[in-house]
Amino acid sequence: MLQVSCRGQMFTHNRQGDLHMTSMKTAGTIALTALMTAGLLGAGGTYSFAASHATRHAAPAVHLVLTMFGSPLDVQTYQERANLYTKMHPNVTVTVKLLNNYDQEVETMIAGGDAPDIMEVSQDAVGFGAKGAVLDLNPYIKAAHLNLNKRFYPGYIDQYNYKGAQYAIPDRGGFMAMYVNKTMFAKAHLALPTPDWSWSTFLHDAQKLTIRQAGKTTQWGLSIDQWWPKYGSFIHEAGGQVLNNSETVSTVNSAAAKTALQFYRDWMFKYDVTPNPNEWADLGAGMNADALFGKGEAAMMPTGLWDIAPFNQAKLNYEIVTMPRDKRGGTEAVGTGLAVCADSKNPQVAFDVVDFMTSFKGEVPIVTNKEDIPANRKASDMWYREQQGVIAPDQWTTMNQEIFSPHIPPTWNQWQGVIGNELGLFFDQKLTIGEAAQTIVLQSKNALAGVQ
Amino acid sequence: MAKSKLRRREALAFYTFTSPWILGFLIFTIGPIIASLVLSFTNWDMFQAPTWIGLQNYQNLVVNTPLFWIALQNTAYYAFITVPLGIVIALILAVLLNQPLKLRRWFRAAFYLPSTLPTVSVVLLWSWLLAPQGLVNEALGIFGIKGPAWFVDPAWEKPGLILMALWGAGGGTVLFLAGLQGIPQYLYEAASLDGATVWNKLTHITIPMLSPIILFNLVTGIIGAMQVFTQVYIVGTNDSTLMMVPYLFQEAFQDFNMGFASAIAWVLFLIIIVFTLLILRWSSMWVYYEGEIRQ
Repeated sequence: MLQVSCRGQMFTHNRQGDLHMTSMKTAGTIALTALMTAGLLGAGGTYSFAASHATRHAAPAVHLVLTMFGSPLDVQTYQERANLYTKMHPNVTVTVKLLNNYDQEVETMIAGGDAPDIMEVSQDAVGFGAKGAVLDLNPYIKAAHLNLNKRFYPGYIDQYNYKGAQYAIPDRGGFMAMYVNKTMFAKAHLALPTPDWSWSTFLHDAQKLTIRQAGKTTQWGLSIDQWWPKYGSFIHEAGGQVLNNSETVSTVNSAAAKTALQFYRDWMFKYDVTPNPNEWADLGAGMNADALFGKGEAAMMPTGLWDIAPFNQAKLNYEIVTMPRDKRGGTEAVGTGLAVCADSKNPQVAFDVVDFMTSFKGEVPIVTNKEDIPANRKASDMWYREQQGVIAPDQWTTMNQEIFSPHIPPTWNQWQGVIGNELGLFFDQKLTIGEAAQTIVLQSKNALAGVQ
Repeated sequence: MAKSKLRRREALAFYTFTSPWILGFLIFTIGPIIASLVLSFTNWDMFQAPTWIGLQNYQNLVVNTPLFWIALQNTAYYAFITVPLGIVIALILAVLLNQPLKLRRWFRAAFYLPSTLPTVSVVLLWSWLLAPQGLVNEALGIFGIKGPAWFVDPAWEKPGLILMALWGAGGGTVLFLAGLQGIPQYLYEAASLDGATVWNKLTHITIPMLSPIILFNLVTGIIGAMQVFTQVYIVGTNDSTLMMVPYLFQEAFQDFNMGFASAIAWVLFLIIIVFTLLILRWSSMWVYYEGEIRQ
């Protein structure tokens, strides 16, 4: 539901573009509301001249700033989406601002009293929220009768939630999925993974798909790095989690988490199906997990859905399947959301814009501009239909059911510093999993409590 | 009268020519410097009003923060190896490039070039050179030495960064070359007549005459090395390469501890100023200024 509130006027707007009145604070707004409602309903969800005319002359002009990170295509798409809102509410204009050094620049803007109204957030949403830089959107969500679970797959929502406060609305989707090279699978006489494939099938396939000639690996079964949602997915699949539910201490010392992490390292050093840190360094500074798969030198690679466009361009014969399962399935969400800054002079309008931009209508330009997956269910299904069959229907259904939000504490960066440092040493064989887990648990208490 | 008029004109010229810097300093730099000093006594996360906590940030930094000591130790290790070695290499290169060689200009340009390249490009190049099976280890292999995994093994990351920094020693070479060309030839001729060897000439003429430039390179080198950032930010994977400015950056912009980060900045400033003053005091023992009369 999209809610517009200006000077005591309050309207709600669903994601099909229909507008209906929910409440009004002054009698004087009734006529205006009715006019807009009639105009939009009459136009079948498209913006009408009557509404435009009424809004232009009755509502005060509001200008909002939305900060984001990404590419020029991202800027264009965000602006297109914001302009769709302006088209319906000409008194509200939004300038989309691309910040190159996003964190520093947006933090400086906020600290300097020049906060944007809306900001793109990722794992930093909860941190910003806990510091009071972005608003808890629950009161706005409630007033707008916005059902997040209906609009998004549940796995997308909690990454922006801390102790019940919802600091952002999911906007861009994305989760870990396994890209598989179909040509390599066919050559190895292996069936493509099914949605319920297990860790043992995964390892078996990775071993079969690794080819060595004269002591040199010419084809890797798996291309994987040490990015947190990747090992996080495997820990989840094993039945473990990285942090306890209250996010006060790490639980990587659980048997499930240690099993998953050991399995992860064994691909490098025991089974030799993926490059180890030294081998990655030898592959060159420009080489990473995505590039190795994209160059056709690896048969499987877990990552987000953003590689579809470049791999299609490279005419790679691939398909995307679910992550392999152990005790359960699991694919960690890595998307971005839209938050409303606490210093916004028009928080309600800013929320309305966010509400619209994350609605189906507001997310359609993400699909039409061939960007990566939107978070909105209906828009993500539309996006799915555009993907030329790279994801089978049963795989798509399973993926969406298995998306889970990472545990994101307010001190996310400090926490990542601790776990990244110790797991780096573990993956480099400098520590055993027991030693690494023990240190992580010990240091996690301070990091999660925000102690230097 | 004429003398004071000349002095006034000189002073006017001085202030006119330095005014862009002075104005820039007053408008853009002095405010943030004072603000950071005040903020270092506060608890400020950038988003809420700062609260005054006195010396607590400094106390926490020194007493309760192991990462600060790790960063300081790593930075000192990097600076105290990179700077002296860099000066020695730059000096050797300058002496060699001052000889009447064929293609001398080409060599001068080639040695100076690395110091003009963007740090990111240099890091990418050296990531390739220092790969476990890269060119450097291949070369070591010729002598039967098994090279380390430079930017992978935590124990070898700092030496890798030092090696990378030394490649840019050509920047200092240019200054030494200018200094070498200012040494009067008659000093060498007189020394030759007295039977001085090449080594005697180097240690008794060249190095003393270049000592102000050595001092300059030493002071600016220490200041620069203590503030190393970009290459560490790109290459560093764990605490073994954590250095002061990346640590400060992390506290300020990633962990939202701007008050604490300001305290780190001031401690770093104090460390640099102490080293600079010590070097300047020590320099009176070995730096020779032409025309200087010692008491």
